[in-house]
Amino acid sequence: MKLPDRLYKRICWGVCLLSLAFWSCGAAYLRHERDTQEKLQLAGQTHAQEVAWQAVTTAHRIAMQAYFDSYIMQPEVLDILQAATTGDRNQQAIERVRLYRKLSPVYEQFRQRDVRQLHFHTPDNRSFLRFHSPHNSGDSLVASRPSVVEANRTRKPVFGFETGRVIIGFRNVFPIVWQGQHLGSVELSQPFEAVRKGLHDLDAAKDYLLLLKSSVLLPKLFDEHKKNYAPSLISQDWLVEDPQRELPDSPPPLSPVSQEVYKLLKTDQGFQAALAAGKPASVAISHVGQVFQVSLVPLHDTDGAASAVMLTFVRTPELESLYASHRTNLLVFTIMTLFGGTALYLFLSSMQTVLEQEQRLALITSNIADGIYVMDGQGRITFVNERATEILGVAPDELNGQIAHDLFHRHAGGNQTVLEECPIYRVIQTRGRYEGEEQFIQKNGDLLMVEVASQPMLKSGRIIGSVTVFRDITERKQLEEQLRLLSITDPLTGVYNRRFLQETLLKELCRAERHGEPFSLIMLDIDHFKQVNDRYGHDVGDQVLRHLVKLIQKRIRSSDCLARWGGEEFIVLLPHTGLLAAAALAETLLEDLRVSELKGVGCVTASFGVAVSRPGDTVEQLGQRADALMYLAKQAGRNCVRAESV
Amino acid sequence: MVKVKLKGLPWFAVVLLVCLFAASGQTEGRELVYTPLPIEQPETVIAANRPLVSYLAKQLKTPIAIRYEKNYEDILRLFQEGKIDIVHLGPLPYVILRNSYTKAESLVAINEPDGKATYTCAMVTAFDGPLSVEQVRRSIAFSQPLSTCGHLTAGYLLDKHGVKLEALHHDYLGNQDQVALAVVKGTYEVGTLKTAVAKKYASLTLRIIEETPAFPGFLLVANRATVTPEQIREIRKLLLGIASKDRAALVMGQHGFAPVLDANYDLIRQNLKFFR
Repeated sequence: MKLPDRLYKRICWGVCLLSLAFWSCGAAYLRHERDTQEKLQLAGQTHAQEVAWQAVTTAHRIAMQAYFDSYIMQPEVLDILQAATTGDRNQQAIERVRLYRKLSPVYEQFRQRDVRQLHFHTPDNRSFLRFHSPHNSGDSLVASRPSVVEANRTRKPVFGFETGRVIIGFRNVFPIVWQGQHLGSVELSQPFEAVRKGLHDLDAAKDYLLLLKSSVLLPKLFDEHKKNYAPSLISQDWLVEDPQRELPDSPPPLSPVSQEVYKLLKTDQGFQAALAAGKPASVAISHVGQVFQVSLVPLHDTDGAASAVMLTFVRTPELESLYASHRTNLLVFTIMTLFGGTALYLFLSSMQTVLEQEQRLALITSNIADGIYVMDGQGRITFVNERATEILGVAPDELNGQIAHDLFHRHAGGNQTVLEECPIYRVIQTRGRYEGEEQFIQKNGDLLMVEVASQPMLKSGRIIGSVTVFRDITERKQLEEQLRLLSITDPLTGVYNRRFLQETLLKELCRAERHGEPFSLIMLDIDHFKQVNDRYGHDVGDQVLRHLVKLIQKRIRSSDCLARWGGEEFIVLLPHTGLLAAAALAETLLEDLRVSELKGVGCVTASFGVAVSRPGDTVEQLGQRADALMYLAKQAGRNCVRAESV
Repeated sequence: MVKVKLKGLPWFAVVLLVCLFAASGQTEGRELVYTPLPIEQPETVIAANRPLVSYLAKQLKTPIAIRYEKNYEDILRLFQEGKIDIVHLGPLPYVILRNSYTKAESLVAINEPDGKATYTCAMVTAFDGPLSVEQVRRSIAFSQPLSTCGHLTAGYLLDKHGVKLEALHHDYLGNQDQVALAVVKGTYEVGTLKTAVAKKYASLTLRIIEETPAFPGFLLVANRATVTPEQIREIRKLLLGIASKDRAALVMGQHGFAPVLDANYDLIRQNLKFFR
């Protein structure tokens, strides 16, 4: 049965919403799993990058310490510095030149080893000689170089990243104290490129980029060097040194693919958040089907200010695999959800259909005029409709679970039989359909005639029960009986009519033929009955007929058949009766009439013909013989019996 | 068959036009190459020239790359080979270039801090060096053979004081910073370089013992073989008419530009005898 469109839509929407909610939960879980794995991967990468950074910078620091001990702390150098400390301005200039002459060869060696900066400072934190920019000296470093101030103040080496007035780099500032006299400090600093090379030696697959915070860097730089920095692609607040890679010792440019990833960072919220937070972090960036990790290591000045960040770019097959796995899982989950949703939709639709059908069935069964009950394989009632309970006069609870046959099925004479002998049960067990009339008993003990139709229920070829429909036909049966009686009896006298007698006569002839046992026939006709009618009227005539019938009925057996043959003619069929007995009965009836007086009319007489069946007789032959005998009695003066001769 | 060909003709024409437009567009938007004068350390030179290059690129709507070459001879060779479009030159290399390559077209002269498109070269020594040119006996350093403040200046100044350049040991050190530092280090007795550069090294006791008269200024030169006349006109117009606000953002060129008068370079031509 087709469900209404509106109901289909409701089920469809419900399933869609449920599937969507289910899919959303599942997708969120898969996303959460992916994000967790991604975080672990990124955290591992961040940690590895920090460790690599620490390893390289520590190695460089150790090397710088060795250079300081070997080349700076030499008597000739210290003599010059001492003279500069004590001399006037001109003497300081001369000592500066002497120092430059003394250490220029060393500085050339340092440059070969990626030491970009050899810078001497006075004890009062002024630049004394920059080997990388010798003409710039005498300027105060208090504002721009906290590491210098710190080294001169504490007389202890200071190591760390720091921007400066000419270059930025990794500062190794050593205080120079000789014979108890503080002669200032010196720094051997390396550019980012030196550390990049060290990192590149550890992992050649990675690209590196240094970003410098403009608000920290620009106020420090000499004007002539500011033009070597340009805003980064990520933010105006962060600068890159020599973006066109035009300076001789600039690091190599990013690889083309890293350059593309670098551009994407501008709009990556995760990266921007990490950049703003100033903490080590890594982000994953997807680009043309590949996944790259960008690690961010913030570099703090010696005074703690975050003045630069180092970015590391590397392609990450692990994340590509993770993303691919996530996509596959999501696809599979989506397909499963679609299948599940479809299955749920079909299930709910079928459930709804079944429910609808059940409701309709319940409506039908509750309004149908017939009783219906359903039994399981053991004959126990599992369903009964309202009409059945009304017919049987019991409550539904009294029927459910009961064996129907035992409870209300009765057989001939109102007796019970075992279930196995029940005709309905036996037909059902053969998987056949039973139709018939049976007797059911009501709770109050009244027997009912019912018309029963029972059909087995099959599942996989096995009988799992039956459905029985029954109808109370007691009244109908009674009516049929009345009609039958009316059709075979004479309405005036109540005895059988001519047609019934002919049928019975035919049966008796057959029986007599089969068993060889004859029967007899008495035909009688009331004498002068026309005169009675004419003289007393038809009503009296009718009374005479009924009077005659009563007399006859008193003498005949229940197995005998009395019928009105026509007018005032009657026939008595006497089964298992020979001619003598029949003639005797006729004589008795003749005598009864003779002594019986009908009030107002007096005695009436009748003429009797008695015949006995012979083999090969037909109804007509036998009847004619009886009729002929009866006429013989009429001719003999009436009120007598004429029987066939033996 | 003929039908098919006729049917495809409009499409062929469209493709041809697209190709033509693409080709013409490529010519218009071709990246120009600018080479600065390698007078100082590379980072200083590039930092000084980048604002000017950026300004020109923005105004011309044409990308311009900086190509740093440390050798004057290489610069002139590459220029003549068409691999450099615009070059920043001193007067001597300009005169030499013009003598051998007629497609070199001067754009503008570059003003010095005094606002004039002239400059001087100086002979310098360290605190322990000779007090006068006459006392120079041993050695002299130049930046490059084609540097105006190099061989030509040294020959001119030494000749002025009766000292023979050939009697001195001399070397070319690449740029004028190197010359200054070499003299500071005492590697050379004297050196010649631009006066403005020499003054940077005063804190290292660098001392000027002689100076040339004003030479015509440094200038920008375009390569007519690779730069269109329209672009040449546009660049000249841009620089000569540069607003003070834009000029303030420059380093090289921050003092303005002046039209080039070729006659001013006759002084160089007259002293070419000191250039070997």
